[in-house]
Amino acid sequence: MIRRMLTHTAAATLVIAVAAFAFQALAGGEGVARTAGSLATAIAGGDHDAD
Amino acid sequence: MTPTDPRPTTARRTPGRLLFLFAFHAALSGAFIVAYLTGDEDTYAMHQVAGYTALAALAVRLLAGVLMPVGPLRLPRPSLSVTLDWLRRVASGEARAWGQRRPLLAWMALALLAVVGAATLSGAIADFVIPFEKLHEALGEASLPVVLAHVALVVALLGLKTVAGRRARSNIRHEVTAP
Ligand code: HEM
Ligand code: HEM
Repeated sequence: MIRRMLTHTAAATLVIAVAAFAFQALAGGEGVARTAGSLATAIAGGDHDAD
Repeated sequence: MTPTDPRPTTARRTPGRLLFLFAFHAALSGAFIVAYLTGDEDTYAMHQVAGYTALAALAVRLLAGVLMPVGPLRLPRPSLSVTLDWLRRVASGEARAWGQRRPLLAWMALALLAVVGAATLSGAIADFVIPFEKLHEALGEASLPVVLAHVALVVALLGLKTVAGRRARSNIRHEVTAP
């Protein structure tokens, strides 16, 4: 039960992350590179520039 | 996938319904993780995809819970007396009680559905009514500790269950059982 919950969670996280990324990069017309940059900032840097 | 957990299954725990629960849990927890990490202006499209995925998962879950009020898909309805009884048996050292994880997890499941549901719903509202953003951000931040507590509880109970199972079986088999 628990192991299956964990593997399902991990797999779904990847699938949803890829889908969301593709949506913003492609359908949103933003491009892969810019989206990757935004994502890195959102996860790692908050609203601050790297310093 | 390994054949773990040979717990007795009741007639109502059909594979299809359990699969639904796994699928729901996967969609909600995956969407939660992605949504939490992308709650930012520049990643708003990603946040929307993940957030609405969580909303859809919750909606399907609630519908299933309403349509099937018995069996594994019923909505968690923790009972105080059952929980107190369980805690008493644990305190008195009854090994079997460790293996029965239900009472605490039912509270946890209810708290999760409520908190994550509130965060998701307020997000969907904030998508259209901008002043709701503040409330949504607060609820989004508030749901993280609950989710982390959930994962911690699951891991802790898994450990206790393994220990209890080992102890209960030790008069039959003497080798160490892997978790
Ligand atoms: C990352 C590792 C995770 C593991 C191993 C895990 C494991 C589990 C397990 C074993 C249950 C079943 C409890 C029971 O027997 O009633 C459960 C239920 C639940 N989990 Fe998780 N979980 C994880 C992450 C998450 C996350 C990130 C969320 C975020 C929303 C979440 C939300 C829920 C909810 C709402 C339920 C109740 C399901 C229901 O009855 O409808 N879980 N989890
Ligand atoms: C699992 C569900 C969700 C979680 C955990 C979540 C979490 C968060 C968090 C933590 C923030 C604050 C980020 C920050 O500024 O520090 C945020 C912002 C926001 N979320 Fe969500 N959210 C969820 C679902 C949704 C949904 C379904 C929508 C609707 C599209 C939404 C719309 C927004 C908006 C408009 C903001 C403000 C973004 C901004 O700063 O411009 N969220 N969310």
